Amino acid sequence: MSQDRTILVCAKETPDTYSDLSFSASGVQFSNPRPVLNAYDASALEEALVLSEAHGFRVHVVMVGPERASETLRKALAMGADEATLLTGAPKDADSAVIAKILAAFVQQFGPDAVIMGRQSQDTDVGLAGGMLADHLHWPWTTNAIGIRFEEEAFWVKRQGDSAQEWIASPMPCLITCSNNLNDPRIPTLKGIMASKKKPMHLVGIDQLPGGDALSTLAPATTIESLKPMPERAAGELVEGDLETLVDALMKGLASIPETGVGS
Amino acid sequence: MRVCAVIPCFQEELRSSSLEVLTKSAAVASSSSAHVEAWLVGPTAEKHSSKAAQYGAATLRLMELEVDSEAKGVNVSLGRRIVDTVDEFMTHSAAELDANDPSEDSTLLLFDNTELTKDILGACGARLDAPVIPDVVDLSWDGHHCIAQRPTYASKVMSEVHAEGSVILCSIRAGLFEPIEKPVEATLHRYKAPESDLLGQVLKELVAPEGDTVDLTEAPIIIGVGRGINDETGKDLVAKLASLIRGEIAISRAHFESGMYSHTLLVGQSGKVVAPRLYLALGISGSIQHVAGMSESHTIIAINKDPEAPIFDLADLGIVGDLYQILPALIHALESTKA
Ligand SMILES: Cc1cc2nc3c(=O)[nH]c(=O)nc-3n(C[C@H](O)[C@H](O)[C@H](O)COP(=O)(O)OP(=O)(O)OC[C@H]3O[C@@H](n4cnc5c(N)ncnc54)[C@H](O)[C@@H]3O)c2cc1C
Repeated sequence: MSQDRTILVCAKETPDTYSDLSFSASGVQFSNPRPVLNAYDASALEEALVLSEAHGFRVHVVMVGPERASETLRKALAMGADEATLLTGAPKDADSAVIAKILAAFVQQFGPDAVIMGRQSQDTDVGLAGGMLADHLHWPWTTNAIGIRFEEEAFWVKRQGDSAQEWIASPMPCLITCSNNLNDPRIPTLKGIMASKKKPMHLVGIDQLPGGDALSTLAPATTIESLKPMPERAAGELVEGDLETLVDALMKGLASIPETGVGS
Repeated sequence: MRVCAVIPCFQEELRSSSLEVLTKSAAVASSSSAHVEAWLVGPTAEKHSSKAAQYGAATLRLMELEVDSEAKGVNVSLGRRIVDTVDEFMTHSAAELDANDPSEDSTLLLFDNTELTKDILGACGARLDAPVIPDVVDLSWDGHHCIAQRPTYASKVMSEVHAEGSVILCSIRAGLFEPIEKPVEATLHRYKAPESDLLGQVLKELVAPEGDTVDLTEAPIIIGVGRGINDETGKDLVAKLASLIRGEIAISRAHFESGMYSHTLLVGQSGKVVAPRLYLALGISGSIQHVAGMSESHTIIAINKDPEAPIFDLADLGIVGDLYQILPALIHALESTKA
């Protein structure tokens, strides 16, 4: 239970995908212009804080983003993280591969005992950065965590698979990606918000990381060419009325799908 | 140019998502005059090789390897080995391709979009230093550029993503492509499994609660159960309905919290993404996060007592009423037609 042990939480900010969305010439606009902490990363941070309370880890949050993102990062400190680093100067339109390379350089320099992060971004749902980072680091990794324990000097992760769940133990250092279904992230208290103002937040240009020159010029190999409204599903029929009418409509609907075996 | 379908092999039958990947591989290949390969990895690789040829793969690469029999299909046993195998196959076959014709040296790797794939796709991309586009609903390829469509922003926005490179990885959403047979003569290459290196990871326990054996991405009929079903009576009604219409049960996040059902059954942004023939939504409001997991369903029928429920915006058939009245009457009607 050494205070020197650190969990690094990798987080990003995303648009507030709960707010209303509209299309404009420059892409997609949200009615809430303020970016938010990615919900999956908030779950990762919550889990790191719980582990810290039980086992004395320090919790450090790192984010790749523009200077403005320090506001979102401050929220992570208000939730209870001890320290934060904002990595600035990433190439424009960086994709997961670029972000993973930047994070790998930071992790190698920083040397945490574990990396915990969200399993995907709530805006694009890509979900690649964790696996990429783990492979660069040559660390054991576990994805889609719905439970985490620290036991016998290892991180035990309950992973939700296609069917069934599994408990996988990984020695340190290791990487874990979190589902949002393992906790409800805490809301910062007023005290937390006050305290966050005094906590250290480091702004580091990615050119200062090991291999930094190469990092600043990385070109993304995937690009988003266009964003369009989803093709609408043709509006269906809405049936109201007495029970007989409703059941009749349902029976017809079910019988129109051969796989139900209804009416055959 | 070649399109390679990467197929995890650990079950008695090939998963339908794998047949879809093979079918899509054949379709992409025929429009870009590329060659189709199937990369079969796992304990039942040999067994599934003829099926892969039946679905259009002219070159079969087999990595037959043992995994912990109790933990088939789980990541420690199989996923890590798939990453290593993909790397190994790239190295081996690159030499092979070069020898034949250097201009042929570009590869599109297609995966399904199961949790097994999500676990390893990033690592595969990093290992090969190749671009990755996950969870696509459509794609085309010209040998160096891949153009893919993928739903984003909780399925409100279709993104067109382009990737460039001589090796590109894509995973495709299950349930969208009808598997089509296309029998071919296949040549078979067998590989020796590399030493497994799980980097110290140990599978401690496989938790398979009752009802947790269903792979929802395979189910043609899914009954989505939301907060509108909130007690044992409701649960029994749903179970009865499921057996009458051959449905598998899925849940919204509301039941992740209620504990009435297994967590494996969650559909949505943070659960499974499904596209069954029929999605029957019972007492589900239609939150963007739930819809992200089922909006591509072929037919959607929703029952909800609130005529304003957003789920009705995407339902092909919407039924406004109380489930606790409708379900018993529906079950009665179904039983009388079967009798
Ligand atoms: C980051 C993030 C990820 C998420 N991921 C997911 C996800 O993957 N999957 C998911 O499902 N949710 C997810 N959620 C949660 C989501 O926002 C909703 O809270 C959830 O989907 C609501 O479930 P529901 O529709 O069952 O319940 P509710 O929204 O409460 O809807 C219940 C519906 O039942 C109807 N009803 C009630 N009683 C009856 C009755 N007797 N007869 C008929 N109708 C009735 C009501 O009219 C209502 O429309 C996520 C949230 C976040 C923040």
